[in-house]
Amino acid sequence: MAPRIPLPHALKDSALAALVAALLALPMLGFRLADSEQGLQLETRLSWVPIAAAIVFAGRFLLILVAPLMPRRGGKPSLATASTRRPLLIGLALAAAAILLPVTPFGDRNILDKATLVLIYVMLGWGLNIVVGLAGLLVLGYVAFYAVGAYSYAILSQAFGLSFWQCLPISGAMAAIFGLLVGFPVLRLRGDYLAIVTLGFGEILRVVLLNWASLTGGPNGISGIARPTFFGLPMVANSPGHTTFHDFFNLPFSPTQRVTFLYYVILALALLTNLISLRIRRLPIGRAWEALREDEIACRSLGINPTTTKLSAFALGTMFAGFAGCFFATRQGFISPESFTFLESAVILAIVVLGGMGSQTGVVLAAVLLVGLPEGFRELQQYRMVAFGGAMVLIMLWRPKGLLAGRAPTISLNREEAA
Amino acid sequence: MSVLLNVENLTMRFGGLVAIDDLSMTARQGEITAIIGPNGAGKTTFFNCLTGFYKPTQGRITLTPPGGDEWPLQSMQGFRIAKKARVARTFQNIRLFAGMTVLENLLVAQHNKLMAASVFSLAGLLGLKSYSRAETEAVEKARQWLVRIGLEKSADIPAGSLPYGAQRRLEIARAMCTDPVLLCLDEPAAGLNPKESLELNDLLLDIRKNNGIGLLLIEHDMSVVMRISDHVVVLDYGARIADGTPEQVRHDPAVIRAYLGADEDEPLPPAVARDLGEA
Amino acid sequence: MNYFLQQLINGVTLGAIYGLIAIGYTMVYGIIGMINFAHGDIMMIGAFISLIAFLVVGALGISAVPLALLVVLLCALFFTAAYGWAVERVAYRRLRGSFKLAPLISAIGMSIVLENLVQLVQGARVKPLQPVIQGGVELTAAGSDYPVTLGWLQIVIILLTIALMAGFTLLIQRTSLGRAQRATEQDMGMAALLGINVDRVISATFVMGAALAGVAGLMVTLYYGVVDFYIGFVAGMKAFTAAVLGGVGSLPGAMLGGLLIGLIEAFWSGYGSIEYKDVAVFAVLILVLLLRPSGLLGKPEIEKV
Repeated sequence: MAPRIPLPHALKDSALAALVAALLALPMLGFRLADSEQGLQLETRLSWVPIAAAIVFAGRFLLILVAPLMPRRGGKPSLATASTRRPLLIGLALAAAAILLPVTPFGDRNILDKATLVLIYVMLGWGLNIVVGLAGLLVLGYVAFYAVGAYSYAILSQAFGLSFWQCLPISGAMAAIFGLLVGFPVLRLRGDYLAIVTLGFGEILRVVLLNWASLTGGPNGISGIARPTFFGLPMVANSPGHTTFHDFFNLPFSPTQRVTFLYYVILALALLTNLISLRIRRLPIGRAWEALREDEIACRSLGINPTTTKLSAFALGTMFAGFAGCFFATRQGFISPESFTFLESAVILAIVVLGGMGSQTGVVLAAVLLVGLPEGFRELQQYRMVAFGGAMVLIMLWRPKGLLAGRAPTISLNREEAA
Repeated sequence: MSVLLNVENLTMRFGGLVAIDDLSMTARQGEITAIIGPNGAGKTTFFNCLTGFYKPTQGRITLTPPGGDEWPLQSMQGFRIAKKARVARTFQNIRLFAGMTVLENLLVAQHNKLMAASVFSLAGLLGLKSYSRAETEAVEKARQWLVRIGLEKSADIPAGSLPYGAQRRLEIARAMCTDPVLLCLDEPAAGLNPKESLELNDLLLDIRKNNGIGLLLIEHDMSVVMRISDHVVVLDYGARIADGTPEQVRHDPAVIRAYLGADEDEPLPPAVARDLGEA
Repeated sequence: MNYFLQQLINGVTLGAIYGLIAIGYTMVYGIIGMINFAHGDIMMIGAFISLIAFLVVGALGISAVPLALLVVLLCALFFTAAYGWAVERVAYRRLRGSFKLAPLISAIGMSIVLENLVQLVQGARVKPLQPVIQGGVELTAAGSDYPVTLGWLQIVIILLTIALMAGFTLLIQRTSLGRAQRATEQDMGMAALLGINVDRVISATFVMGAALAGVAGLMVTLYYGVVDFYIGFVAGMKAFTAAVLGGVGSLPGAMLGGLLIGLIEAFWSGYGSIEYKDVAVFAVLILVLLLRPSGLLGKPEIEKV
């Protein structure tokens, strides 16, 4: 028999919520500050207030009605006790789809371009996943290391003419070194303090990038960054004195060639990040990261050095950010401090958290949702950020462990029978 | 049996509060030494000083494994005490890695050995034989311990979903997987029913016999303390008030007074005094 | 010397503003151990509400400055407090038992929502206000080369802050709500067992912090003359630094921290480089957390094993 809906309680609760909503909406929605020649003017849109109240009333009412039907959240930590094969199959399928994308009918320039963007965020998400998901270190300034990678390449290619492939390892190394420098004093801080301090470092770096114009070009950034070559063959329409890519392969020139090439580069980088993450989870250091996340005091009692363990996670994660930054710089041809704000850090963190901390496929799903979809609906750009922040809050309220939470064990003693 | 742990004039002060007051005691290798005393006597504080979670205000704690160097535990960093001096401990509130499997818990305990074998993970990443061999050995060692504590079938379930008694045993096995010379157990019998307590006794006696290490035990459960300890030290208000064999300590009036909460010059209740043979 | 004095005055004024915001951070952290990342944006909402209230008051024909100021102050207090209440109720209350990073992530989400909602409904452009309080007292000795002015606005800000601080301290120390709050801060479970409505006490904490942030928003509107949807972020970070510097959980610490941060910012802008003034404050945050995480007036935490 269906449970009785507590009607009076639902009505009262919703009315209260609507009243509060009206109160909040009165100044903010009811009035608008408009610019005009006489300075600031006030427009009134008081009709919005009861509309907002009505929406909140309806929403809250529905929520109360639906609540008994929702499954209880929370409970003990569950392991993905099902075999580890299913996520693996899904992962392989996704990888295959990604590899084959350019040759499918979907493989036009526009889609490949968007896919490239999503892949950058997937790689950043997988990199941050090592730090936040595996080692449990909440870092809010990840974008700083992304910036270090990007600016390293930009500056080195301008100053010394190094190519993308030469700079890639250097960018990663620079980001990792920066990570070690930042991490060493900071990683022993407790969760939320660590988050704020890393945020502080991210902001400091951004201000420095903005003001140290002689090195970084200041707010104008660095432009004219060299594009990557296909093993030395530039991918442009023509290049005097050099054989171009399309010349070598006897193909007509098409800008899609470079787009496709860039797509495969980031796909390779991302898959590399993924493979290393998966492998390292099964190594002692990976287990130590997860153990540290569970209980640092127990780890100390087992002789595990928390500082070096955390630093290794940090260095690896920031190295991947460096790689991604290098790629970003070469893809855009131009970088400026504008691309490296705290908001970017928040997006990457949201991807990791929404996807499910520690889940590789979750990161892909979240990146597609948070970056891919809004790209497809460019007109709704304004609402994107509100929806994004709202999604973060909602996921925490509804599924704090993320969409695809659940931990697969790294090793088993009693081999399972066929799955 | 040689002296394994030598505590000299240990004092621990938190601001104005004296938690441990000029404590001196020894524990021998191959023996089970119990630390008992009323609540608040400073027993866990003592363990925390021993294992590097607190830095003692004064005094010395020296660990001397047989045939090895001396370790000044009072000035060593927490994880180094476990790693270099090989002192392992369990906690009053069980601290397992609840989200990881039983087997993984035991593998994490062998971290340092495995890390060395994987050469900063490089050998591991490249899939070199030397590392896979080390990992197989580690898994085998874990398996032997699981058999010893009866959890072999539960190797792949999350440690947090084990029943309470099993979690306690697992924590002990995990500590033993670090190959310690001194095992410190903080109230291992807490929350166990009489049958489980007997099993715990067997396990600890077995460890003493087969692994030849020293055991240090904080316990309230007298059925465990009296049955298996070779040596008992009694603390009250941070100071040592008795030190001897279980028999000696059981009949010590000072000890009884401490547990009853009576002052030194108060006469004991008649029934107790009769029991002890006092007037 | 005069230049120094002027920076000092500016620093104290800034410090008062930061201190008011810092109180919100420190109270919330003290009672539920969470950093309210959205608190700076609450101040921003207070600034917008003040601006709107000024225009409404002007449209209603109230021209007497003290009366207008009073009305706007009450509006800022009231509405910002309502926002603070709503944020806690929606985004934080359910997460109290959850894993430790959940409230922080929810707070970050809330901060993004607030910033962009305001941007959406009010427009992204900077909003200027006609100066409401102008002029001040000249403190320069005759014949000096640098004029030192103590603005009326600065006096109002400092006096208002002192008054609010005093009232607040009385509230915490003398009233039953304050007692209940201190009890909940010490031991939430026990307080609940003794019959304290913990939910209500925590809500009240957020409301009070938000009200003070609303006043700070009013001050920012008056002092800087412009508001935009992003001022909450930077001011919030600085106020958080102030709370940490003074000792998280300590009310006098928040005020002291605010004062110090205000002075640091003023002197760094005055004698160093103005572009890097934010960096100076962030650097202070990092140094404090590394060298003395319990702050100046806070109690060092001992690890419980």
